[in-house]
Amino acid sequence: MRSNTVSILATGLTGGLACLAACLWPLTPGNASDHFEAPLVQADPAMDITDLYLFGGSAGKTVAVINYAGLNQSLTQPTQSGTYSDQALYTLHIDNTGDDVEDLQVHVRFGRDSGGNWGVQVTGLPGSDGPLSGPVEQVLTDGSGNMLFAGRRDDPFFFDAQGYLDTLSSGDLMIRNDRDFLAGMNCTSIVLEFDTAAALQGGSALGCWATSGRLQ
Amino acid sequence: MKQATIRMNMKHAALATLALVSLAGCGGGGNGDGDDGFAFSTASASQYVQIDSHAMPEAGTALIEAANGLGGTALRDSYNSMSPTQRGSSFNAEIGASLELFHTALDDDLTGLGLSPATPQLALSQGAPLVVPEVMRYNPAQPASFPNGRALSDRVVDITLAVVLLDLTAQGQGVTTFADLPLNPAGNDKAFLPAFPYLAAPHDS
Repeated sequence: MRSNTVSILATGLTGGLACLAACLWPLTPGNASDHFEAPLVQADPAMDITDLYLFGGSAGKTVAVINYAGLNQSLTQPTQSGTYSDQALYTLHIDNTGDDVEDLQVHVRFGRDSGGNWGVQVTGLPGSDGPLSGPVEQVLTDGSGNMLFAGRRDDPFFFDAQGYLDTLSSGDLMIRNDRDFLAGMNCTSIVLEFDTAAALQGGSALGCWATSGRLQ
Repeated sequence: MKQATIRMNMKHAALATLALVSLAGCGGGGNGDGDDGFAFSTASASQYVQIDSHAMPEAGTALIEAANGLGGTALRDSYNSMSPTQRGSSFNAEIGASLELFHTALDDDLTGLGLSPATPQLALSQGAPLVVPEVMRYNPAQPASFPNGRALSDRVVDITLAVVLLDLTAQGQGVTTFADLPLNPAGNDKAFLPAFPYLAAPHDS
């Protein structure tokens, strides 16, 4: 039933979707992130943010997921380890007054111990008294119930990028709902769960964006 | 390649010191007291150069690159280096041109399917609030459902396509017109976890 509907769409949208592919979601296999990115970002997977998610966690908590080091020309998929850099700073910017200027910054950094093991640290997590840190690939919790995880995960983004490519080359709409270009691929994820009221600071909504920075 | 080698060496080093760590009794970690032996940079945020910025799904890809065709450009690097307020309206022409390209090509096809495309003006008024400024808005009093925040399972590509292509005020069509089909895959290849950290385990091969 559904694929019939898609076929009908496919028949009708032929030429237009070729442009859609070219113009809107330009992707090529092995060279895509955001999932297609600019030169500075492609060169450094640790800097390459692919997605931001924002949703409710356990009672009174908000979850923010920052994914990076996903589909990137400098990585082979599926990745076999997380991508960590002690030269990187990841920031979740939070506006809680509706003026699109950040009121809070949550900072995430990676560092190693004397044995060379990677650890992760978050500072400024709303509702936390101080920094929360520990090994990567583990769920870390502080006394307030805030949580932190950093590690390699399945890339949760789904999209028929191949359909766009085929559309481009053939001139026919070939977007399919049974083909997920990101299936089988990983990313490195930073998952934060924090106190919603502490993030809102009396406001009614959050405005968020994520950035990556490299130490000068 | 070089990074992978370094990580491999670290792993060996880690194994070698595992016994020592256990003896010292600090192998548990994760209590967040900062006393876990990891060395984190104490450089202030201002000492980092912003390389990438991201809020809305594929926003930069779709609307900043569109008028330039395929490929990342210096313009995109510039976009990524700025905060929402720094960008202000300076990318509006770029975004408008992308939407116009899009509608010039697609409107007759949408009409042929019995759908009502948005006029260029309407496409801008429907789409621009999502990306100018590029901030992900989330009212926690409402369930997360893109564009109110973004849940892991949200069909964001299909929703975004509808917002920029369709007249959302027209009878029988709305933000979920494409997602209801769906046009792209309905969901992720792996089931999400019901609890923290929510994301599915990685693929190992």
